[in-house]
Amino acid sequence: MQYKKKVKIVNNAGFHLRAVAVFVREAEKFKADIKVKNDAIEADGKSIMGLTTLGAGKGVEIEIKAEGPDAKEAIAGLMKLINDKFGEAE
Amino acid sequence: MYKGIAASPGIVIGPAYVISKKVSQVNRIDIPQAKIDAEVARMQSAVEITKADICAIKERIVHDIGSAEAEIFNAYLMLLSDPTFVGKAEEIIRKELVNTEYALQMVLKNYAEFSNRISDSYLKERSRDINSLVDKIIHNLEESGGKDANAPADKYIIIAQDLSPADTADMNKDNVMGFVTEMGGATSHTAIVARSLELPAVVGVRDITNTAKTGDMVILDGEKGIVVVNPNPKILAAYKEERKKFILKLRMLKRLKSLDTLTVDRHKIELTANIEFPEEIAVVQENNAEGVGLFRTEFIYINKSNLPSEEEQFESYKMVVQKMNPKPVTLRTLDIGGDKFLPYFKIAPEQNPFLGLRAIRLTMANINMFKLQLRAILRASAFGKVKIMFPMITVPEELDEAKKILEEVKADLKRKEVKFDPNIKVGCMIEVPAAAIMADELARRVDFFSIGTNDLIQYTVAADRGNESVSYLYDPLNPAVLKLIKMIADSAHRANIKVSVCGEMAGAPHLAFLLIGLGIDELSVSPSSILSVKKLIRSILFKDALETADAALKEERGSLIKDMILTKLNQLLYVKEKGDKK
Repeated sequence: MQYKKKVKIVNNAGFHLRAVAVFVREAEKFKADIKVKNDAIEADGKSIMGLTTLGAGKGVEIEIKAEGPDAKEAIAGLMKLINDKFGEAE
Repeated sequence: MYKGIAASPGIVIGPAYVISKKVSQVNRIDIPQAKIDAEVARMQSAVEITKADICAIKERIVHDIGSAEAEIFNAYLMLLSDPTFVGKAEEIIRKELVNTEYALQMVLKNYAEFSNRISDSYLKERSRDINSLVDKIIHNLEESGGKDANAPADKYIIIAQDLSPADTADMNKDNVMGFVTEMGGATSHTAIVARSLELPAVVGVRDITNTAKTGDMVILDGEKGIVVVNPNPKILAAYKEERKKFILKLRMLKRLKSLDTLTVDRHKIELTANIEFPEEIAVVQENNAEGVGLFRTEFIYINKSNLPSEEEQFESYKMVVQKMNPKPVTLRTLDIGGDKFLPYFKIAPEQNPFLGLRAIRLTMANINMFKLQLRAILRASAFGKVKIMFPMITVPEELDEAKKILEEVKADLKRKEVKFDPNIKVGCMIEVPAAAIMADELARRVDFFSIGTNDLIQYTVAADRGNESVSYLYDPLNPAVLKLIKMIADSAHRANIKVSVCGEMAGAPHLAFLLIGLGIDELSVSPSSILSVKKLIRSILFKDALETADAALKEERGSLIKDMILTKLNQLLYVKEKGDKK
């Protein structure tokens, strides 16, 4: 099963190291293979190093792709995290 | 002379140690196939040492500041375990038969090609974190010697463009006298670490790494945010004098910290702190408060996407309780509604939220949420001295009901053999006029009262302080408010219980003077006001406070009461100062 979803980064600092770490920890809960795309650059959703190279700042729309048995749940969980600003107080 | 942002107070004078961000030159060394396993092991052991270093600073930051500030170190630890980082370096070592330093540099180069495309300037800046991690690993490699050869021997003031959390991780407090950085603001990581280590710091000083050189004499004034490089003898002498004064001031404040909170005629006032975040405990302890008089628990609910679990709440409460032990911590149950809401907990829109489903009304209407919090609080009570306080009690029945629920939770914990303090003290906030008027009836039911003056004032004068057209009515010295406070204090004392004030009123020295005269036993103020209120208490006579309060209760205009208090205080402090000089 493969799912795709576009989502806008809403936290002020964007996809910075701390936020990426929170994202990766959530992604690792799922079996699904996860990819994150910003324009032409694609990174492994479970690699903190890869995700930081996306350079997705506030307001940037990224695409999350998940493939695997729990792909749907993975997408939902990750979307929620982004919309909740990675739990950052602003 | 440079002007920057004062990030951590203190004055130091000493040699500079300028850390430049130039990437150290790395040479490619070919490694014979037979020694490749050893080379990989060499890198892995350096990575492990780096992880241990980062864990150590993480724990220190968690302990001193709080877990949210330490989150970045979790990110570092994850990076160090990321297969595309260290794993990639290992691949390069094995494939190209090269040394670790070179392989790591290749990984960085590769990464830089990606990160240079980043247009977001903040994110671009942050991508440097990875460079400093690589520096750290190389630094920890066995043959690279460890210690930085450039650092001056003894003590020095660090001057850098920016200090990442990884940079500050292994700084030795015995050598570092203070920090100066080009980047950052008062809330930057450097500033936070400096304050936690009690080292002076100035941040946001432009261009200083290009002009100051290692070994230059530097004056660092963390009070005014000033840095002087190679000062002339006149300035140096003046600053040596300033430093003496600062140390003297520090000593005086320190002396005040350890002194009892007594009036001149030896009447004891409990002086405690209001906190909102567990992290604030550091300042509370620093100022030697006699306890936490109000721990607002909303922080743990707000800024969350779900209702915090019992475990999560328990951990936060426990941390504060343990740190304060044996001093008491008063935990107030959730006070939302009014102007505070939770994103995941919707209540029907109300015409008038401050008169609506708020505080204890809301929690008792959501019994499971209430019980969850009570369980977390009770469990924390096994680790120190905890008191529970219910906000916004209006009628005695509410208090009976809340206490009944508390007993149910206690019984349940007992059945499950979970530890808690069976004699935990229970109190209520008095912030609704109806409760103030019924204070005798309420006092029989609790172990203490705490007056929330902010709400008591607004409910008494029926005026919203934020509404400019009526804010003239919002006056802590409104005689009706003072009469209510006096009634509450008298009721408490008749029932043999203590009464505190935890509103903003307690933190203003002239109002604190009046509250003491009205019979308040405990003042709970913001952590940073502790010493100024203590200074006031130690310079007044309880007898004078009583007299002033009596006179104030006979007055019918708030503005006149204010003049009366200020005049009285001026006289007292004048006499005191004159007395001191003798």
